[in-house]
Amino acid sequence: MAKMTLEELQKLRETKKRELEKREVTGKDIEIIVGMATCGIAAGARQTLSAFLNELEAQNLSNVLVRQTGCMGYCYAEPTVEIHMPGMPDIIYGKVDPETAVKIVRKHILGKVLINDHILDKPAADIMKK
Amino acid sequence: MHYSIGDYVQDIVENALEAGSAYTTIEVQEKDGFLTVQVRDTGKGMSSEEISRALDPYGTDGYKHPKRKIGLGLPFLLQCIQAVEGEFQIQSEPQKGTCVYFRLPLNHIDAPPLGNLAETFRQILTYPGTHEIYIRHSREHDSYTLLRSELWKALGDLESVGSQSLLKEFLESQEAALGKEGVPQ
Repeated sequence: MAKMTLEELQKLRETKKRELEKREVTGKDIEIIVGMATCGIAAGARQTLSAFLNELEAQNLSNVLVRQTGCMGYCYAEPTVEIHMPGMPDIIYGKVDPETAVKIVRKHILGKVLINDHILDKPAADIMKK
Repeated sequence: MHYSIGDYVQDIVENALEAGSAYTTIEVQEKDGFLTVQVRDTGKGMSSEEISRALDPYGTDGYKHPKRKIGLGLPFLLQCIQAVEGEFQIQSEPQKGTCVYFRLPLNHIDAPPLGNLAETFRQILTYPGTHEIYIRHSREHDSYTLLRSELWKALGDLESVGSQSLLKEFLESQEAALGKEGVPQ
C-alpha cells in the first residue's frame, strides 16, 4: 500500500461525496454515540466502534454520524451505545459487543425494530439526580 | 487491565480531552526493542494531591459521578508498567496541562500487544470537538506525523461514516509505510 498524501485523501473524499450526491442517501439524521471511557475501553468499546463503522460502510450508510463520548454511568453494562434516529425512540443499549453492533445496524437502524435484550431502560441509580 | 497498548493510549488521550486540552501531542516511538509513549496536553492540569488521587484506583475527582469511589484509567497503566518493569512518569501543573510518559520493553512476556495503531489513531482523532491533536509515530528510522486540523480540512468532517472510513484507509497507509522491524502486532 503506497503512503497516501493529504491531497489524495481530499480527492478521494470529493469523489465519494459526488457518488453520494448521485443517489438517494439515507442516514443523515442518524447518530450513534459510543461510550469510550476507561470502563468502555476495558469492556471492548473500541472493537464495538470499529464494528459499527465497518457494518455501516458495508450497508452504504456513509452519512450516519458516529461519535464517542465519556462514561455515561453504566460501567456495569459497557460497552454502551446511544442511538438517535427519526421514527425510533432515543435508546441506550448496553453490553454491545461487535456482534450486537452489527445487529443494531441491521435491525434497529435498517429494520426499525428494537433489540429488547440490550435496552438500558433507566439510568444507574447512584447517578440519578434526586 | 486493558488489553493493548492502544487501549492505554486512547484512555490517556480521553482524559486529556475531558480535561479541556486545546492542543494534545501524542508521540509513540518503537526503538531498539522498547516502546516509548508520551501524551502531553494543555488541559486543566492537576496539583500534586490530585495526581496522587489519579494514580490511586480507589480515588477519583468525584466530578462526573460523585457517588463513585473508583478511577481506574491511570492505575491500569501503572499496573501494566510495573508488571513489565517499565518506566512511568507524570508531570502536571494546574491550568497548564499534564504530560504522561511511559516506556516498556516490548519483548517482556507480560508486555501487552501494541494493537492496531491505525485504528487507535482513528478513534483518537475522531473524538468530538475543535481541539488540535498532533501525532507522531516512529519505528526505528521511519516515522510519520499527523495533525487533526489538516485531516479535518481534507475530509470535511471527522464524524460521518464516510470520512472515518477514508481516514482509516489513510492511517493504514501511513502505518504500512513504516518498516516492519520490531513489534509484534
